[in-house]
Amino acid sequence: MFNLIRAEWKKLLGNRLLASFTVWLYPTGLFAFILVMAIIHLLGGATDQELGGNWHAPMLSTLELVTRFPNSSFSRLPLLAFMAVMCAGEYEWGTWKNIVPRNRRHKIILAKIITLALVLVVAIGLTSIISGPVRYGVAQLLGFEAAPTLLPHEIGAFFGEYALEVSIAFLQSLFLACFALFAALITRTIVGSLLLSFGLSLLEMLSMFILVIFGRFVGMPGLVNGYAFFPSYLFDNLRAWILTGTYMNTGITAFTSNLALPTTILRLVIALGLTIGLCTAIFQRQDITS
Amino acid sequence: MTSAVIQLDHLSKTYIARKSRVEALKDICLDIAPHQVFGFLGPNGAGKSTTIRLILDLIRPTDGRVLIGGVEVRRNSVTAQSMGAIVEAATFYGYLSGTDNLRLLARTTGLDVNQIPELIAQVKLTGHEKRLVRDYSTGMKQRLGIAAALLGNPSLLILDEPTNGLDPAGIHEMRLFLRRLVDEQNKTVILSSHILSEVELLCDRVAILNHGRIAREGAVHTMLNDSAHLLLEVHPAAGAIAALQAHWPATCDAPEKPRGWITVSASNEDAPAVVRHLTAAGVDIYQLKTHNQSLEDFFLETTSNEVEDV
Repeated sequence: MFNLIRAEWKKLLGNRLLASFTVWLYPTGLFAFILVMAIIHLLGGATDQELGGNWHAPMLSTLELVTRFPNSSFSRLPLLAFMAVMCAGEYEWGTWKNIVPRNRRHKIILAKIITLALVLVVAIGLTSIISGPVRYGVAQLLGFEAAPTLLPHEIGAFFGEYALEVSIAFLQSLFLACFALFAALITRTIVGSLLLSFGLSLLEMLSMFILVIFGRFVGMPGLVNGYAFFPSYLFDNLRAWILTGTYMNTGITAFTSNLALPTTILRLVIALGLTIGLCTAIFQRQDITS
Repeated sequence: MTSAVIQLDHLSKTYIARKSRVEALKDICLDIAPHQVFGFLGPNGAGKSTTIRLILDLIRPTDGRVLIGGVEVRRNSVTAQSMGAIVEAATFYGYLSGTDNLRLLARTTGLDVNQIPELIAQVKLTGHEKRLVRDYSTGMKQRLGIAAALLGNPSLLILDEPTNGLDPAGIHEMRLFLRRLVDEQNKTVILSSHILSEVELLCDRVAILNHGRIAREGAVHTMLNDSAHLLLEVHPAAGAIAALQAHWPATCDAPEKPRGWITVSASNEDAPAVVRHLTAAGVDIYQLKTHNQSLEDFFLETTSNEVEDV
């Protein structure tokens, strides 16, 4: 399995052009932004807002922002594009036939999902580091006043929270990889996979509104409680429990299925297991004819 | 127990797409012995690639089974781990170099990557291994495909059109290379090809597929020998045909003429016996010629007969 993941990693990041315009877009884009701000400051512009402050809060908030952006359909489009190309590409390039005969199919699928998620988390992690320590370092070099920083006893708690956020990002990335892989398995084309995976993620994101509207239409407002089974709710609820110690308020009065933390985690694990299981089952039964 | 390296046991495959059914293979039974070059021949759509994909577990049979070394290939099995293969054209990740593609394939199967430079040299790609595969010619990709198939030194190689895209010198080299793998390294090579002259020179046995069925199967030498003819100019032609009837089928283009050419379905080895029979029957023999079919003639005859049968 480790060898498969290593090979997959090489395959994913070997496609430099695609990776540059998708996963690496976020850390490099942010780094470029910091450099531009620094240049503006050196030229006499006011950049205190962009470059000042401490390192830990932006680091965490950027990570949170980035890990939450799979809930924003447009910002996760490049990531889905990367995943769709790397999954459906195996069909279009005719490369499955090199790998499949010598491996168990479920291992191939698992390795692909895990590696795709790992690549995403690395990109997200890099972005958070650039938004925190790197940005802070640039600010110090430019002579900004040192802002209050973490006390030694707070550092442990900070990195605990950081690790938790990275874990949530990894889980979300696994779901995203499953969406892309499922679309690739069904369509077997890059374009089809891109459109279907984007459609699926959009549908998943809008699931609460769809359930509200459909519930009103059929006279069953309680239908919105079905949202408590969707990954987007489960992730938001998980984060709400971690950050505020209580469940997430959806703002919908008909929604009464506020889940406790253990139930949320359990449902997430089951949903992930089912999604991976579905992808594996499809791939196991599939004839590789390309 | 069987010594066959691959057994196809009542293998059938039907593709179903948009309400249409295509029977690609119909009840194929075949045993392939080890340490030989076995060829699958057949016109386009005969079922060669389908057979190879079934052996490699890329597609599932509609009926029947494939056994490799006596073990049934089941979905998600690793029976194919001892095999190297090229299916149709060799395909790779174009954005990676030749070496990186081989390294990646080696890693997916947990194989040693140190063998890669030697394999690159074997297929004569030294100097090109760092180039991106998308810049390779078809022949170079095919050579890289052979190197990929040889990763892990498998005992069984399955090569679908291995000479595809190679120039004549490359085809010749490939033939010698594959022959050496069998003769010197005791490997088994199963291939499909459209270049029948090459197959005739390279393969020990062949199966001719047509319309999803095995039309003929056997040793190339025996097949061609069995299909050989003797041509004799005799007098009287009708008497000669009658004298041979019990042993060898014979025909005459113009039986009404007393002296003429007859065609006898007999091999070179049978020639003395044929002559003895005719002489004993009082037939005068003026000329005797042997006619050996090429594999191409044999293939065309077999596949055209099949079409007529259908």
